Amino acid sequence: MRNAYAVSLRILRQFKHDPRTLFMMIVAPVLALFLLNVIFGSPDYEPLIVTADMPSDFVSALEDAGARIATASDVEALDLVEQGEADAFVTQDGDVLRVWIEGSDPSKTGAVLRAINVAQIEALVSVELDIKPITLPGGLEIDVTEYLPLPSFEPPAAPEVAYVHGSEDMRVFDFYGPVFIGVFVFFYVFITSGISFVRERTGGTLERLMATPIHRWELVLGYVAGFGLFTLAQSAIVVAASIYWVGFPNLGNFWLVLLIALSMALVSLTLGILVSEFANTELQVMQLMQIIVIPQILLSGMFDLSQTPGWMQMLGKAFPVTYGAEAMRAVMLRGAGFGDVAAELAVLWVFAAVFFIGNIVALRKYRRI
Amino acid sequence: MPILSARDIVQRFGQQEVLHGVSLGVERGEILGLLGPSGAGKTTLVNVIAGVTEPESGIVEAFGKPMPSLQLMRRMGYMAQSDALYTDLTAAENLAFFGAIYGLTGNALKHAGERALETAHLTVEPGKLAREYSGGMRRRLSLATAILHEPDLLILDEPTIGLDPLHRVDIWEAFRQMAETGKTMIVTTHVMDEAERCDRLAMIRDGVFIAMGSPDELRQRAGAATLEDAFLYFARVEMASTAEGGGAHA
Repeated sequence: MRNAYAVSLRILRQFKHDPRTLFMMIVAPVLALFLLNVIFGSPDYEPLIVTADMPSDFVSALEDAGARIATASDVEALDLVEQGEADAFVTQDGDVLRVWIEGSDPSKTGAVLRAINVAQIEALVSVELDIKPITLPGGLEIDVTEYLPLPSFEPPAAPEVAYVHGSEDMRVFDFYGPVFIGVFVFFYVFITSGISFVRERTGGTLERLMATPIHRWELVLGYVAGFGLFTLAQSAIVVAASIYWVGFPNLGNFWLVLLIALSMALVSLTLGILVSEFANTELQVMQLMQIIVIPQILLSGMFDLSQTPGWMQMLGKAFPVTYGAEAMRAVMLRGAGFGDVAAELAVLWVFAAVFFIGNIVALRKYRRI
Repeated sequence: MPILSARDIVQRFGQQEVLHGVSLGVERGEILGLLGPSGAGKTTLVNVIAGVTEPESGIVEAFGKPMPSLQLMRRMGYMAQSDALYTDLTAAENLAFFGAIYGLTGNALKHAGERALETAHLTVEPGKLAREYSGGMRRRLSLATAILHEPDLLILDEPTIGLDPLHRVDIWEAFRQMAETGKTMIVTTHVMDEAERCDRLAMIRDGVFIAMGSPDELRQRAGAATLEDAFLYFARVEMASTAEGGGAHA
């Protein structure tokens, strides 16, 4: 136990002499989250639609639906769309509305189609039947509209929407934010711990330690404790900055979010050390990370996997990041309490424990005792 | 009874057998030199003796008890061929870390550190990181971390490589003084003038001992004027005998 303390103290001292790593571990994830937040928090895209020979009702309806409008001849308009300078060209061919869409960016395509749909409905509603009163011989005027049933173009009343979780103001990114917090903590802890342990091997200090009366478990525990203390500080700063500075919505308890982030950091830490057992250089740690960490992030549930093949969903469930991401979302977006995410937390801790023991076993390569 | 004995040590890395069953014994207060070219298996052998790697087969006993054992390692010191220092820590922090693992803290650590640095002929500057020291200074700091806890058995893998000749002489004097107080040392070297300073030499080549004895004895047996010539003599004898024996170690 005393030796584990010595190892963790040494790791903290190494951090103290390496302010650059310290700075990177904290500033890099916060910076990345901030950038993502700004990108995804920007207002919705306003598509640029070129029209030709369209009724003014329709054009103003398009503008109301959030599109920017330009007019041009058919040839010019198609050219602009081709060049990517306009998103779509709308014209009328008899009763049929013809739309040409640039089409390389699905989100812009979606914005164009939404605007056109809205405009079509609005244009329909705004049609005013201009039926003149009939003048009978003798000068009597009869307003036939009083006697004829006229078709009604009243738009349907807006539905009354209540949000079980989230709100009308929730942006798309708010759904991804909680996952990004967990993923970034995981990613940066993995790099630092993996590289740090590989240095222990390449520098000869691991061999040197194996010649001392230190137990293998003391070395691993020391690493986890030293890095753990550091990742606690890191997670706290990243979570606090994300919620209070960057402005991620958090419906749950701050400390519970921190507990989840820290649990993910511990899994990452033990996994990083374990992976470094199979790497001989710092470059190899980075290479292994691409196989071990990137797929975990892709399958973490950041993207909806419910329509993917079964094997992929199973694979996602085999990765610890998935459970951390789910717990993060549950707490931050749905205000879940400890009891609701206890199962996910338990899975994370089991992963950490397995990797921890795996590290102790892997060190047998050097010394049986 | 020898302080350390190794019997029939075989070590293999993958398909390649690096040690073909070597045996040695070291008495208390003795400085045993392992002399051989690089690639002969010196480091592999001392790593097995220090308990850093497990041999394929063979037995190592230290202080009469089987290795590896954490209890026995407490009484042993090991200086690796690489400096094996935390270069992002200061000299004092390196000493404090290795000292802590041997239970040295507070004043005991302070005194042990001062003594070890004195033996290693190193003056450290407070606050200076190990990576900012010269190679020779790091080598001496590495030595200081190995002798910090005053081990009874010291295993030194090329301890004076890259050192200023003046420091080399000083450090060998320190080794001799330690031996006189009953410490035992195993030192690997490929430098003949260092080999000269050992009580006994084991000449190692291609994973076998080709000769063992005091420097004088070996020169006499080989009828050679220098240890270098003696090494060549024993190497040729060994090659001749393996050729006859049909390549016993192949």
